[in-house]
Amino acid sequence: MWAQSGITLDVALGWNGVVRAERYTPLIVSLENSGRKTACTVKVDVISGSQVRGTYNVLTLAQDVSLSARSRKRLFFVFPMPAIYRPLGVRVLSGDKEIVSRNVDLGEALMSSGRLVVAVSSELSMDFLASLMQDVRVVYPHVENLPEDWAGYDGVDTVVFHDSAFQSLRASQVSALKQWVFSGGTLIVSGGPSALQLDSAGIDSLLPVKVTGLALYTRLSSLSRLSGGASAPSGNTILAESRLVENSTALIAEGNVPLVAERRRGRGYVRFLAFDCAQPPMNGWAGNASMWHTLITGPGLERTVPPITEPVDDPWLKTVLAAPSFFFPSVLILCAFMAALILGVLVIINLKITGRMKAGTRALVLVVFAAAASTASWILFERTFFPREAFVLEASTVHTASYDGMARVSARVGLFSTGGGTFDLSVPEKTALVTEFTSARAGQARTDFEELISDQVALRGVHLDPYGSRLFLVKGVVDMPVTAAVSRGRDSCTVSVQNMSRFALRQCFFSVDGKLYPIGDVAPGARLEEELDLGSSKAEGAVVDPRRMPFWQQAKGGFKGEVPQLFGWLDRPVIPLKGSAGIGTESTESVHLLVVDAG
Amino acid sequence: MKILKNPFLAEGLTSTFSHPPILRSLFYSLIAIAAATFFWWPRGPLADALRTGQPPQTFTVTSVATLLCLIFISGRAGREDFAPMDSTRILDVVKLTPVRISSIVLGKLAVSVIHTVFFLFLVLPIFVATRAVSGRGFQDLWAVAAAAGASALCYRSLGLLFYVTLEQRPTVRRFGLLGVAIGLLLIPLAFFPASTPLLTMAEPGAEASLFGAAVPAYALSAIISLLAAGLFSAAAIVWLRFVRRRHASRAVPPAPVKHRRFEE
Repeated sequence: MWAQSGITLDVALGWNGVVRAERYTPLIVSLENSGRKTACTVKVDVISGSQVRGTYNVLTLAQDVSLSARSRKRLFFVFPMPAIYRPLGVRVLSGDKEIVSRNVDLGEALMSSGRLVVAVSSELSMDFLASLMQDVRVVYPHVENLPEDWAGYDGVDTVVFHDSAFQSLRASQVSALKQWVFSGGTLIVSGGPSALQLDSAGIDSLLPVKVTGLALYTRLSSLSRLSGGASAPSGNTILAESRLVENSTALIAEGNVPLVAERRRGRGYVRFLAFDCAQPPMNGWAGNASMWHTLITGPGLERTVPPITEPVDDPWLKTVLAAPSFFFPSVLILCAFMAALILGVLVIINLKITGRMKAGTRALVLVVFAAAASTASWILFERTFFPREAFVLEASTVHTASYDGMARVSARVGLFSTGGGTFDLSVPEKTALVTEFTSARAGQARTDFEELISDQVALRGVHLDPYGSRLFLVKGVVDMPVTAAVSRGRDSCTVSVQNMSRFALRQCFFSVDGKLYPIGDVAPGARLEEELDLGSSKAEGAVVDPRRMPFWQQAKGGFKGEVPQLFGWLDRPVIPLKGSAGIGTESTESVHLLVVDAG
Repeated sequence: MKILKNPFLAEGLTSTFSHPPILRSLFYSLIAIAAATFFWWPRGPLADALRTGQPPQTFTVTSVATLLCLIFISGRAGREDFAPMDSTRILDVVKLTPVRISSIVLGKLAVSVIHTVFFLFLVLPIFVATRAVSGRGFQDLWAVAAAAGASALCYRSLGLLFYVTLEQRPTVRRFGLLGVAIGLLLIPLAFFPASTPLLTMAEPGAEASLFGAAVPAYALSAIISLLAAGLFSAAAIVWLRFVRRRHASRAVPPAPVKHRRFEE
């Protein structure tokens, strides 16, 4: 702990100190004020890259905090763990004056490979997992320290809820956990007697089952299907009796009681075990290794810290930048303008002006003509045929499952400027994850900005040289109540779409068995039901607008679902960006693709 | 306000905006600058320039073309190449009238300032176009105008000096002025690049170190050009005084020459 001016600073890094390379990592900064009431700013400097390679970069995360007299506050941060790192700098400032600071070594507890399992448990009950599987590391964070931001779980493979420790979760932590599951995380809830308390913890909406009571079983013979050859566990076992909820699957059931149930939520999974996995006879069962291997092996999270790249080479933005509006003004326009200018001057200098004011009149006419031509030049080349000094291009996908109501948003945002300058950007969504991944050109120093997290995420002081560009990744989990359903017949199928969102869905089409069927626009609040002739599928070129085709070609590979999917285009981004003066954020070239896994 | 009544200013302005050779020189310069801009105009997708982070050099090319045209026109105007055939030669005025020599040179310099500003105003539409595609700010436009304008004054004064000192040797005058102009433009590049306007044309925002302090290179270049213009003008005044004195000592005082513009 470091103390100065009555403020004590303490830092809790990662998962009980464990951090994973190139993943987002949670950081808790605790402040204790033993003095008078004060307002300060906590800044976290994440230093990465190499000065020799020209990739040196400092990302500064900041939060303003007001500390009452003799009070304590905890601030949650999430930062991208760089591949090449230096000590993390944590500073507390009052105005511009630094009052206390601390450096944190990131390399001490770096976990470079294996699986990280976070056990939310009041005792060290899940250690058997580490002995069963060599690549698994189990950590037991205090419930109070669980992230309040879904991105804080980025480095975690699986979260296991055991016993009733989860009851202390705050609403913000439950929300973060839900968003993490929707974004691709795997949550395992161990049952037994504590399952009766799940309702009150607020996570019941995630579960694949509705717990109805408890029962005592002496042998769980059906578990042998997951045992990898071992005999079924025998001995008195308290089971949480339950019934499946909609869109859930019982992987293993003992009679009518689901023993292992699964529910897909967004891109992630929630698995429910009816028994307490850490109590006898389950903790000593020979088939544990095989069962847990099945449970914690899922599709996993997609890599969220993207590879560093040039903004114009980003596969998504490249498709948007190819639009005709992002070309230099044509030489023909220049020629026409020059010809008009030269001809005008030629005519004026050959004018037969007579009288006493002959020379002065000609000069005046030339000056007026030059002023008019300059204005025309400004209108033509700075306002009409060339982009404004700074502009934002965005390409995003919004992926939801029709039974979820929440969607995972992944957006690539490019900030470009032909004139250069310093700009601010903000995302009015506190839980949105905004990361820069612009490559630094060799020999060019990067000027860094500050990411201020309050009720929104604000990037302050993003500097661009003339013809500079910066690339940001914006990720979030947002409400998107759009449902789609497909019921198949022999030669046709009936599709229905209900759009309860605020967004109009443009040029929608269904993808059924790899074939595309256009259904048109769906307005906000509208419900559409249509019968599709399965023989009347259309080619890509017929259902996707040519302007959006390059992006569709790039993005469609990420949505090869086993279920039918609804695709549609949004007119505006789901997570809107706001730019400071001089930035055009409403580009008509931006593309936003909505994907709904049909029920 | 006294300068506004200077008869050499009035005569110079009249010929600047009515004498065909001067107007043609402006017109041809405009064509040359437009052509240079055309050849360096960026073509193709914006993404190519964004990838390298290198703005198109169109603005630089336009600036250099403007500077060269200004130097060329100013040098020629300084040595009275564009003067109407019926106008009175400076040396005749000096030898045959009692007009103050400094008012002659000041009048010529004032014409030069107006001519240069007018020229820059005429090419402004091209600069506005190239500024946009080259990602330059208005401060760059100002820097280029200041450096090129001051440079034009310098070469106009140099032309005047050559004209009054080498009036009887037109060939020496022409090639001598050309050589000195090129030398003044290029030689400082080897020793003190910031002093030459070429640096400002290439990098208008560049800074130079002067006695340990950082100063804008365009301002330094402009100040040096203005100092040189003052020096050349002073040299021309000294030479003209010498000419007048020598003429007065050699010749029988002639009857005063009546000129409608110098009657007062």
